Amino acid sequence: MKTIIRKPKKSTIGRLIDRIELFFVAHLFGMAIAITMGLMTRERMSHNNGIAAKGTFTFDIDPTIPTHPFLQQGKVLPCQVRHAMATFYDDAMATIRSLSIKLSDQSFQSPFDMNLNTGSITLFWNAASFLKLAKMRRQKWGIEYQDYYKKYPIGKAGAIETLRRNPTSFSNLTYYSKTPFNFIGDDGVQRYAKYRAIPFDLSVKESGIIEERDRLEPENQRIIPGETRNRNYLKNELADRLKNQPVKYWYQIQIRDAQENEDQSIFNCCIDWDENEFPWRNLGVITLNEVLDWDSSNKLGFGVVNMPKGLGCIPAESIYDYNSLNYMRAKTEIARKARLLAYKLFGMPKEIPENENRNSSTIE
Amino acid sequence: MTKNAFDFEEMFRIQAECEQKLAKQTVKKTSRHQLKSVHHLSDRGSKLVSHPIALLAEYMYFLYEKLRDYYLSALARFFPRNEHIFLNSINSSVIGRLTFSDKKDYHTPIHHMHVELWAKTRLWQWIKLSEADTDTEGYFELPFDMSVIHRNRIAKKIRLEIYHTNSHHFNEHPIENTAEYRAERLNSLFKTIKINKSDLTGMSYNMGTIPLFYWEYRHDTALPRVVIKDHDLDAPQKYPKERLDAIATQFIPIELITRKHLLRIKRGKKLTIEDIQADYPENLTVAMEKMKPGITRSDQWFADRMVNGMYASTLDVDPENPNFYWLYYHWSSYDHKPDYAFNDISMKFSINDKGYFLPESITLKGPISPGAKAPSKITLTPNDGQKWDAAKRVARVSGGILTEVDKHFTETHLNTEQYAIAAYRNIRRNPIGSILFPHLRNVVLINHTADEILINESGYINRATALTPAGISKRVYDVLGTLDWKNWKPMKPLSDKHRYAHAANLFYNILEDYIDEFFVSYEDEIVHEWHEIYTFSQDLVENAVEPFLCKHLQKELQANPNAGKPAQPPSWYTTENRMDLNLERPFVSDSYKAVSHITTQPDLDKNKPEEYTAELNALKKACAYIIFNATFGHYWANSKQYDDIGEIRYSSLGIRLGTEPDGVLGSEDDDSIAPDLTISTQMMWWSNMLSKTGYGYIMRNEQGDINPLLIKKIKEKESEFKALGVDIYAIQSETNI
Ligand code: HEM
Ligand SMILES: [Fe+2]
Repeated sequence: MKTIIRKPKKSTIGRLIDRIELFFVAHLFGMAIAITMGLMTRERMSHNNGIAAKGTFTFDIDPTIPTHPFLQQGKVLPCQVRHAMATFYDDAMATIRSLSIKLSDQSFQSPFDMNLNTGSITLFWNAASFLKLAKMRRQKWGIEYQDYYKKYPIGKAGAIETLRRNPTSFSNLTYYSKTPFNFIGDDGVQRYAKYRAIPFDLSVKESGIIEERDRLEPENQRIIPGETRNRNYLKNELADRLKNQPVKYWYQIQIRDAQENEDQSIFNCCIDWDENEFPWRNLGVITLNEVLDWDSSNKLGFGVVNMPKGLGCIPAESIYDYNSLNYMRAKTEIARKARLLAYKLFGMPKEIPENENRNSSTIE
Repeated sequence: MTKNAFDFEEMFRIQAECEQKLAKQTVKKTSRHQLKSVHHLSDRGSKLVSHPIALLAEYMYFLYEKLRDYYLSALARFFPRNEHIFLNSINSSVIGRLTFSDKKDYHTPIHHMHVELWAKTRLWQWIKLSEADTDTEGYFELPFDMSVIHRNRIAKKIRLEIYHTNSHHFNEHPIENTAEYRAERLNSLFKTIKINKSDLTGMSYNMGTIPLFYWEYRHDTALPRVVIKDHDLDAPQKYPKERLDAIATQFIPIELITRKHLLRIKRGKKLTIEDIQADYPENLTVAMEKMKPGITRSDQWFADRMVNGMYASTLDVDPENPNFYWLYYHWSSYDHKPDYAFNDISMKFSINDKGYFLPESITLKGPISPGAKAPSKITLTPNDGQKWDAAKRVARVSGGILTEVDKHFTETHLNTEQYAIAAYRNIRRNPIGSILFPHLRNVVLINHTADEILINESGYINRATALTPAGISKRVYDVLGTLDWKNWKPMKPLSDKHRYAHAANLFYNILEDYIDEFFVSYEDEIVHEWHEIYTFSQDLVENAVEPFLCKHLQKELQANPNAGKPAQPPSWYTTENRMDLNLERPFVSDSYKAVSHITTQPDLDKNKPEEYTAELNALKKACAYIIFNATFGHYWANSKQYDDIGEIRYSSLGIRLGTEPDGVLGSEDDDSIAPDLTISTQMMWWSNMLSKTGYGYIMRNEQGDINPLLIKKIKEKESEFKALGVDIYAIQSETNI
């Protein structure tokens, strides 16, 4: 059959409509989260089950990294992190684990925030697919996204890659930013960057990677029958560990130069960048010394908007643009504010009790 | 009657003269009636449309269809579908899998189905996004450019289109100076599935497993039959309009005669078999009798019809005297009704010095008169006067039902259906589709109709013949169990006057020749798509019936294909036009299967030349067999029905023991033996309907899908066929009636 390849043209008006759609979708979504979760339930959209800690960040920069005013060799900054699990109040479930970094001692103000999750890829790839995921969640008793996984096999692959079941400690996991960010350094050259954090001791093996049973059925995140670990075991482990010794991570960066007529797939957070071509290089060391209490951990807020000039989000053109994810994240800032307002109005949420309410998406 | 009552030459001259006269006789439709469809035919009154209001409604519907077609074609003209694929960069795909949908079949992949992804814009234009074929496991992947559908918000609807291949088009012009005719695969839309545009968010969108109700095997019968729940809704094929028109014009006048008779019978008005006969167009025997009374009741005519008429029987040599030949009809083990003559018959023939056939004796086993005490056995010879003539009539009737059930229905209709189902389920890319499909078309439709009006409880066979539905169904199962393509050869001519056998060989040789030439041109493509042949063979064999050899032959030949017991038959046993008893039958899912594998290799390897050639040759043979049965084999049995069962007193499909002491050996005009009036007029309905409603001839190539090479080769032999009494223009291309 004859096949002629023709370039689809997009009119200026078409582009404008795309942007307007993205703008509205992102803002409406942010509002919706702010009202339904931030205000009404005093919760985050995800990652409610967590524990925060503080310490320092020491720049130890690989010399091949292009220079940027924020990256100052040897400099030490205060650092707060929050380790959390996406959406369930039960550490023994198969969930995504996270490490969010804030290079300041404030609860929100910061020159540099970064949210990192386990696994190098995600369950979604643009704003449209993120909304699909949200729409098709249909969570019940710790089982979710069945239909989404059926329709979107890449989403399922992403889940298999990111879920962790019963890791022995937050401290031996590897966390990724997944979405790329701008990197415009002193030379003004357009580059892109992804970030990750790995255990400081390079010989440590990552724990909690899901096995056959969970790989076949990632939609079933429930605790394994006969589970002996309690609801808070992983948070407790971190608290105990920090009583005796600091927890340390390497903070690393992957950088690539922009190309003319860029292949959009490099922005796709479901596709890794080749580690040989774009090796991970050290930026610095995170050292955690003590845990924060439940309330201060809840007050922490991280935002993709908290980035130095030149290191922020890559502009997005439409809800199908891979970069629309970060655009949309930026517009959920209001949800964090709503949550903090709700704390003030209705009080802080309770700490997670160590009871037999398992597989739960609520505290009690 | 004595042996030399007629000179053979004179008899054939009269036959030829009558045939010529009858060929010119055409019935013209003069009434306003319309036939809805082929499956609305019935010998008890077809569903005709005749009420003025109904006709008006039909006409309105016809107008509506015309208008709709016009509208659709206008739409297509204004918004032509552009076959070019719109694409900038591939960034997304739609994936999924096609399987059959029957409960036993849902896991079976549908391979090589063509699928396309289309978007319809807000301006009603069509944009093609992607196309692909499913792989051998039924999976498809349609890569496309997401930005095309989201471009300027232009796309409104997205759909997956699933196409199937059931026809080909031949390019009549030689390509690259070789005289070969290239077959181009024609895909037609089978199903469309809407895709929610908002579901296409990028990356790959999985439509999951899509079960298609497509050429499913029936489970309510042990025969390999296709499921047709509703003829008008879910049949896998459709008759072309021209075929319906052909039936309507040729058959409605006949239908009206039958109706008139049925009404007279219902009202108790006077009607005789002679009245009935006279109302229908003359058939061959009636016409010949008019020219020379007694000619069609002669021994010469009897023997000639048995070997060269509709019956075209396979004879075996007499084990004791090679100058004699035997023909057997065995019915006793098949459930039947007691008031019919349904004897086991053995007929002995000789061939004279000119090569003509003559009957020597007829032995009837079983009751021949009412209230007779079984078992009875009587042998009659030409010296037995009127009783001998009556015995020939019993043999003609018995041969009539045998030819209808065994040869016509089972050997051509059902046999072709089993190949048709397996072929349409599996062959799409392989060029052998182009040589098979024109001959497999629509056989499942007519068989479905035959079930309803011929075979079932209320069908004609149960009403008009000795066989009960149980008897028919066992018979059909057994006979299908004697049929296999492997090592099959057409009937061997026993003398130079054995016209059927000569014609069959002539036709078969043309087929072999044609297929050989076809394979030379297409070998690489055939081998490349061998997977389709492999699954074709799997489906064919898995669904085949058990092999059958009657008890008598099992003992005589020391063979039983249904017990893994092959044997080399003795020389008196005719092997042509029969299953090869030397072969062991395939054993699948705990039973032996009548049909041999065409291939058991999922791939053909050129580096194993012996195996490679053997497998290719097997495929050629299978193709020749399939085409032979669906065309020439069916044409012979079908077109001569009107000659051999078109005169009520001469022959029918059922003859009764009657009320007289001589029983079935009484005279021809004993109405207690002959079919009753209802069955008589219905018999005329049938033989007219089956032989005289032609559509689908090789030489006419109505649908343009028959390889011109085949047409050319048959045309080259026109005069040879003519010398054997075969008009090549009458040979059907498909088993469709
Ligand atoms: C694609 C990569 C993404 C990563 C790696 C990521 C990671 C994280 C992490 C680690 C947290 C927990 C922060 C904490 O502990 O307080 C978080 C929270 C959150 N994320 Fe994401 N996220 C991603 C995409 C998105 C997207 C596309 C959105 C949606 C619009 C989103 C909206 C949010 C919101 C609303 C919160 C809660 C904020 C709060 O109330 O403090 N994230 N994310
Ligand atoms: Fe037929």
